[in-house]
Amino acid sequence: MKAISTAKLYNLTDEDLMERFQDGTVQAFNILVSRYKDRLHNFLYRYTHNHEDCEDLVQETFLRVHRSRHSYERIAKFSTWMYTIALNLAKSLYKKSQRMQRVSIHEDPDDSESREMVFEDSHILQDEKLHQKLCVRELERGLQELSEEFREAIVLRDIQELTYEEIAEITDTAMGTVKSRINRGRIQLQEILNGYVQPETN
Amino acid sequence: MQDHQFSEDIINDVILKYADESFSVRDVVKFEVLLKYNPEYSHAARVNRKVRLLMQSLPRMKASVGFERRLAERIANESRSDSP
Repeated sequence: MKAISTAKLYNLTDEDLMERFQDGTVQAFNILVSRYKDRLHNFLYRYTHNHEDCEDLVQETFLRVHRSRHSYERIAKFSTWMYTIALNLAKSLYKKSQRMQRVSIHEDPDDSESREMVFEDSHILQDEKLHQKLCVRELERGLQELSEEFREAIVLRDIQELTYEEIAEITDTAMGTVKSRINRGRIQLQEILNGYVQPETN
Repeated sequence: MQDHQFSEDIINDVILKYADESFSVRDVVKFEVLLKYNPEYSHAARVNRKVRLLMQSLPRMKASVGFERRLAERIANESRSDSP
Protein backbone atom coordinates (compact mmCIF):
# COMPACT_ATOMS: atom_id res chain seq x y z
CA MET A 1 0.00 0.00 0.00
CA LYS A 2 1.33 3.41 -0.97
CA ALA A 3 2.37 5.59 1.98
CA ILE A 4 0.52 8.89 2.38
CA SER A 5 1.08 11.93 4.59
CA THR A 6 -0.47 12.28 8.06
CA ALA A 7 -2.59 15.19 6.82
CA LYS A 8 -4.09 12.97 4.13
CA LEU A 9 -4.72 10.20 6.63
CA TYR A 10 -7.11 12.52 8.49
CA ASN A 11 -9.32 12.69 5.41
CA LEU A 12 -9.72 8.93 5.12
CA THR A 13 -12.85 7.06 6.17
CA ASP A 14 -12.75 4.83 9.26
CA GLU A 15 -12.64 1.76 7.05
CA ASP A 16 -9.74 3.13 5.00
CA LEU A 17 -7.89 3.92 8.22
CA MET A 18 -8.41 0.37 9.47
CA GLU A 19 -6.99 -0.91 6.22
CA ARG A 20 -3.96 1.33 6.64
CA PHE A 21 -3.59 0.16 10.24
CA GLN A 22 -3.76 -3.48 9.16
CA ASP A 23 -0.97 -2.60 6.78
CA GLY A 24 1.19 -1.26 9.61
CA THR A 25 0.42 2.47 9.72
CA VAL A 26 0.11 3.07 13.49
CA GLN A 27 -0.88 6.70 12.93
CA ALA A 28 -4.13 5.44 11.34
CA PHE A 29 -5.03 3.75 14.63
CA ASN A 30 -4.25 6.94 16.55
CA ILE A 31 -6.65 8.88 14.33
CA LEU A 32 -9.39 6.32 14.98
CA VAL A 33 -8.76 6.71 18.72
CA SER A 34 -9.08 10.48 18.49
CA ARG A 35 -12.30 10.12 16.46
CA TYR A 36 -14.00 7.72 18.84
CA LYS A 37 -12.59 8.26 22.33
CA ASP A 38 -15.28 10.77 23.37
CA ARG A 39 -18.13 8.85 21.78
CA LEU A 40 -17.04 5.68 23.55
CA HIS A 41 -16.74 7.48 26.89
CA ASN A 42 -20.22 8.89 26.42
CA PHE A 43 -21.56 5.44 25.60
CA LEU A 44 -19.77 3.32 28.20
CA TYR A 45 -20.35 5.74 31.06
CA ARG A 46 -24.02 4.74 30.91
CA TYR A 47 -22.93 1.23 31.87
CA THR A 48 -20.26 1.93 34.46
CA HIS A 49 -21.43 5.14 36.18
CA ASN A 50 -17.90 5.37 37.36
CA HIS A 51 -15.15 7.41 35.70
CA GLU A 52 -12.30 4.98 36.23
CA ASP A 53 -14.20 1.88 35.12
CA CYS A 54 -15.41 3.86 32.13
CA GLU A 55 -11.86 4.79 31.08
CA ASP A 56 -10.76 1.18 31.61
CA LEU A 57 -13.51 -0.06 29.34
CA VAL A 58 -12.74 2.51 26.64
CA GLN A 59 -9.07 1.58 26.80
CA GLU A 60 -9.93 -2.11 26.69
CA THR A 61 -12.12 -1.52 23.63
CA PHE A 62 -9.26 0.21 21.79
CA LEU A 63 -6.83 -2.48 22.95
CA ARG A 64 -9.07 -5.12 21.41
CA VAL A 65 -9.36 -3.11 18.20
CA HIS A 66 -5.56 -2.94 18.20
CA ARG A 67 -5.14 -6.62 18.98
CA SER A 68 -7.84 -7.88 16.59
CA ARG A 69 -7.09 -5.53 13.72
CA HIS A 70 -6.43 -8.39 11.34
CA SER A 71 -9.79 -10.00 12.03
CA TYR A 72 -11.65 -6.86 10.92
CA GLU A 73 -13.16 -7.24 7.48
CA ARG A 74 -14.16 -4.30 5.39
CA ILE A 75 -17.67 -5.63 4.79
CA ALA A 76 -18.54 -4.33 8.25
CA LYS A 77 -18.71 -0.67 9.12
CA PHE A 78 -15.81 0.07 11.48
CA SER A 79 -17.99 1.88 14.04
CA THR A 80 -20.46 -1.02 14.18
CA TRP A 81 -17.63 -3.49 14.72
CA MET A 82 -16.11 -1.30 17.45
CA TYR A 83 -19.43 -0.69 19.24
CA THR A 84 -20.06 -4.45 19.26
CA ILE A 85 -16.74 -4.92 21.07
CA ALA A 86 -17.56 -2.10 23.51
CA LEU A 87 -21.07 -3.40 24.22
CA ASN A 88 -19.82 -6.94 24.88
CA LEU A 89 -17.20 -5.59 27.29
CA ALA A 90 -19.80 -3.49 29.09
CA LYS A 91 -22.12 -6.46 29.43
CA SER A 92 -19.43 -8.74 30.81
CA LEU A 93 -18.27 -6.09 33.27
CA TYR A 94 -21.85 -5.71 34.46
CA LYS A 95 -22.34 -9.45 34.85
CA LYS A 96 -18.98 -10.02 36.51
CA SER A 97 -18.86 -7.26 39.04
CA GLN A 98 -22.45 -6.01 39.34
CA ARG A 99 -20.86 -2.80 40.49
CA MET A 100 -23.27 -0.53 38.69
CA GLN A 101 -24.29 1.91 41.38
CA ARG A 102 -26.91 4.56 41.54
CA VAL A 103 -24.49 7.36 42.03
CA SER A 104 -24.89 10.74 40.48
CA ILE A 105 -22.25 11.65 37.96
CA HIS A 106 -21.73 14.84 39.96
CA GLU A 107 -21.55 13.39 43.44
CA ASP A 108 -19.24 10.49 43.90
CA PRO A 109 -17.66 10.90 47.34
CA ASP A 110 -15.19 8.08 46.72
CA ASP A 111 -14.00 9.58 43.50
CA SER A 112 -12.25 12.70 44.72
CA GLU A 113 -8.90 11.67 43.33
CA SER A 114 -10.16 10.43 40.03
CA ARG A 115 -9.78 12.46 36.90
CA GLU A 116 -12.52 14.90 36.15
CA MET A 117 -14.80 14.05 33.27
CA VAL A 118 -15.28 16.99 30.97
CA PHE A 119 -18.73 18.22 30.05
CA GLU A 120 -19.20 19.89 26.72
CA ASP A 121 -21.58 22.56 27.94
CA SER A 122 -20.36 24.33 31.05
CA HIS A 123 -22.17 27.62 30.47
CA ILE A 124 -25.39 26.99 32.32
CA LEU A 125 -27.06 29.36 34.76
CA GLN A 126 -27.07 28.25 38.39
CA ASP A 127 -30.81 27.49 38.68
CA GLU A 128 -30.79 25.75 35.34
CA LYS A 129 -27.77 23.84 36.53
CA LEU A 130 -29.62 22.66 39.62
CA HIS A 131 -32.63 21.64 37.57
CA GLN A 132 -30.40 19.85 35.10
CA LYS A 133 -28.56 18.12 37.91
CA LEU A 134 -31.83 16.73 39.27
CA CYS A 135 -32.98 15.66 35.82
CA VAL A 136 -29.65 14.04 35.03
CA ARG A 137 -29.67 12.17 38.32
CA GLU A 138 -33.21 10.91 37.78
CA LEU A 139 -32.56 9.96 34.19
CA GLU A 140 -29.40 8.06 35.07
CA ARG A 141 -31.28 6.31 37.86
CA GLY A 142 -34.14 5.44 35.52
CA LEU A 143 -31.75 4.06 32.93
CA GLN A 144 -30.18 1.84 35.58
CA GLU A 145 -33.55 0.34 36.39
CA LEU A 146 -34.36 -0.62 32.82
CA SER A 147 -33.68 -4.11 31.62
CA GLU A 148 -30.36 -4.53 29.82
CA GLU A 149 -32.05 -4.95 26.43
CA PHE A 150 -34.10 -1.78 26.75
CA ARG A 151 -31.20 0.24 28.13
CA GLU A 152 -28.76 -0.69 25.39
CA ALA A 153 -31.29 0.07 22.65
CA ILE A 154 -32.16 3.48 24.12
CA VAL A 155 -28.55 4.46 24.82
CA LEU A 156 -27.41 3.49 21.33
CA ARG A 157 -30.27 5.41 19.75
CA ASP A 158 -30.75 8.50 21.91
CA ILE A 159 -27.25 9.07 23.25
CA GLN A 160 -25.08 7.64 20.48
CA GLU A 161 -27.49 8.63 17.71
CA LEU A 162 -26.92 5.40 15.81
CA THR A 163 -29.39 4.31 13.15
CA TYR A 164 -31.85 1.49 13.79
CA GLU A 165 -29.94 -0.62 11.26
CA GLU A 166 -26.66 -0.09 13.12
CA ILE A 167 -28.28 -0.93 16.48
CA ALA A 168 -29.75 -4.12 15.00
CA GLU A 169 -26.31 -5.13 13.76
CA ILE A 170 -24.49 -4.29 17.01
CA THR A 171 -27.01 -6.09 19.21
CA ASP A 172 -27.48 -8.92 16.71
CA THR A 173 -31.24 -8.42 16.74
CA ALA A 174 -33.93 -7.94 14.10
CA MET A 175 -34.77 -4.33 13.31
CA GLY A 176 -38.41 -4.82 14.37
CA THR A 177 -37.19 -6.02 17.76
CA VAL A 178 -34.89 -3.01 18.12
CA LYS A 179 -37.76 -0.62 17.41
CA SER A 180 -40.05 -2.45 19.79
CA ARG A 181 -37.40 -2.34 22.56
CA ILE A 182 -36.86 1.38 22.09
CA ASN A 183 -40.59 2.13 22.14
CA ARG A 184 -41.31 -0.08 25.14
CA GLY A 185 -38.13 0.97 26.91
CA ARG A 186 -38.97 4.67 26.67
CA ILE A 187 -42.49 4.04 28.00
CA GLN A 188 -41.05 2.01 30.87
CA LEU A 189 -38.51 4.75 31.57
CA GLN A 190 -41.31 7.30 31.74
CA GLU A 191 -43.14 5.08 34.22
CA ILE A 192 -40.01 4.76 36.36
CA LEU A 193 -39.41 8.51 36.29
CA ASN A 194 -43.08 9.33 36.72
CA GLY A 195 -43.11 12.99 37.71
CA TYR A 196 -39.94 13.86 35.87
CA VAL A 197 -41.21 13.04 32.42
CA GLN A 198 -44.49 14.59 31.45
CA PRO A 199 -45.34 13.84 27.84
CA GLU A 200 -45.79 16.83 25.60
CA THR A 201 -49.39 17.94 25.41
CA ASN A 202 -49.52 18.61 21.68
CA MET B 1 -60.11 0.55 10.24
CA GLN B 2 -59.41 -1.54 13.29
CA ASP B 3 -56.34 -1.99 15.45
CA HIS B 4 -55.58 -5.43 14.03
CA GLN B 5 -54.98 -3.88 10.64
CA PHE B 6 -51.83 -2.25 12.00
CA SER B 7 -49.07 -4.70 12.71
CA GLU B 8 -46.88 -4.13 15.76
CA ASP B 9 -43.99 -3.31 13.42
CA ILE B 10 -45.97 -0.54 11.73
CA ILE B 11 -47.14 0.90 15.05
CA ASN B 12 -43.59 0.96 16.41
CA ASP B 13 -42.30 2.44 13.18
CA VAL B 14 -44.83 5.30 13.19
CA ILE B 15 -44.27 6.04 16.89
CA LEU B 16 -40.50 6.14 16.47
CA LYS B 17 -40.76 8.37 13.40
CA TYR B 18 -42.89 10.74 15.45
CA ALA B 19 -40.24 10.71 18.22
CA ASP B 20 -37.48 11.26 15.65
CA GLU B 21 -39.49 14.07 14.04
CA SER B 22 -38.93 12.45 10.69
CA PHE B 23 -42.48 12.15 9.39
CA SER B 24 -43.13 12.07 5.66
CA VAL B 25 -46.57 13.13 4.36
CA ARG B 26 -47.46 9.46 4.11
CA ASP B 27 -46.44 8.89 7.74
CA VAL B 28 -48.66 11.78 8.86
CA VAL B 29 -51.65 10.16 7.21
CA LYS B 30 -50.76 6.77 8.69
CA PHE B 31 -50.39 8.32 12.15
CA GLU B 32 -53.73 10.12 11.90
CA VAL B 33 -55.53 6.95 10.89
CA LEU B 34 -53.82 5.03 13.70
CA LEU B 35 -54.85 7.61 16.28
CA LYS B 36 -58.37 7.91 14.93
CA TYR B 37 -59.08 4.29 15.78
CA ASN B 38 -56.52 3.81 18.53
CA PRO B 39 -56.14 7.10 20.40
CA GLU B 40 -54.14 5.39 23.16
CA TYR B 41 -51.08 5.41 20.90
CA SER B 42 -50.99 9.19 21.11
CA HIS B 43 -49.68 8.89 24.67
CA ALA B 44 -47.00 6.38 23.63
CA ALA B 45 -45.87 8.65 20.80
CA ARG B 46 -45.64 11.73 23.03
CA VAL B 47 -43.78 9.82 25.74
CA ASN B 48 -41.33 8.53 23.14
CA ARG B 49 -40.62 12.01 21.87
CA LYS B 50 -40.24 13.47 25.35
CA VAL B 51 -37.92 10.71 26.60
CA ARG B 52 -35.80 10.98 23.45
CA LEU B 53 -35.40 14.73 23.97
CA LEU B 54 -34.48 14.21 27.62
CA MET B 55 -31.94 11.54 26.79
CA GLN B 56 -30.39 13.82 24.19
CA SER B 57 -30.08 16.51 26.84
CA LEU B 58 -27.89 14.37 29.13
CA PRO B 59 -24.38 15.82 29.56
CA ARG B 60 -21.97 14.39 27.06
CA MET B 61 -18.99 12.63 28.55
CA LYS B 62 -15.58 13.13 27.08
CA ALA B 63 -12.25 11.42 27.55
CA SER B 64 -10.13 13.01 30.25
CA VAL B 65 -6.82 14.73 29.58
CA GLY B 66 -4.00 12.28 28.94
CA PHE B 67 -6.28 9.47 27.77
CA GLU B 68 -4.34 8.85 24.57
CA ARG B 69 -1.00 8.79 26.44
CA ARG B 70 -2.34 6.27 28.97
CA LEU B 71 -3.71 4.11 26.16
CA ALA B 72 -0.38 4.23 24.31
CA GLU B 73 1.41 3.15 27.50
CA ARG B 74 -0.99 0.24 27.96
CA ILE B 75 -0.49 -0.87 24.36
CA ALA B 76 3.28 -0.60 24.75
CA ASN B 77 3.17 -2.66 27.96
CA GLU B 78 1.09 -5.30 26.27
CA SER B 79 3.46 -5.45 23.30
CA ARG B 80 6.43 -5.82 25.67
CA SER B 81 4.81 -8.66 27.60
CA ASP B 82 3.85 -10.40 24.34
CA SER B 83 7.37 -10.30 22.93
CA PRO B 84 9.53 -13.36 23.72
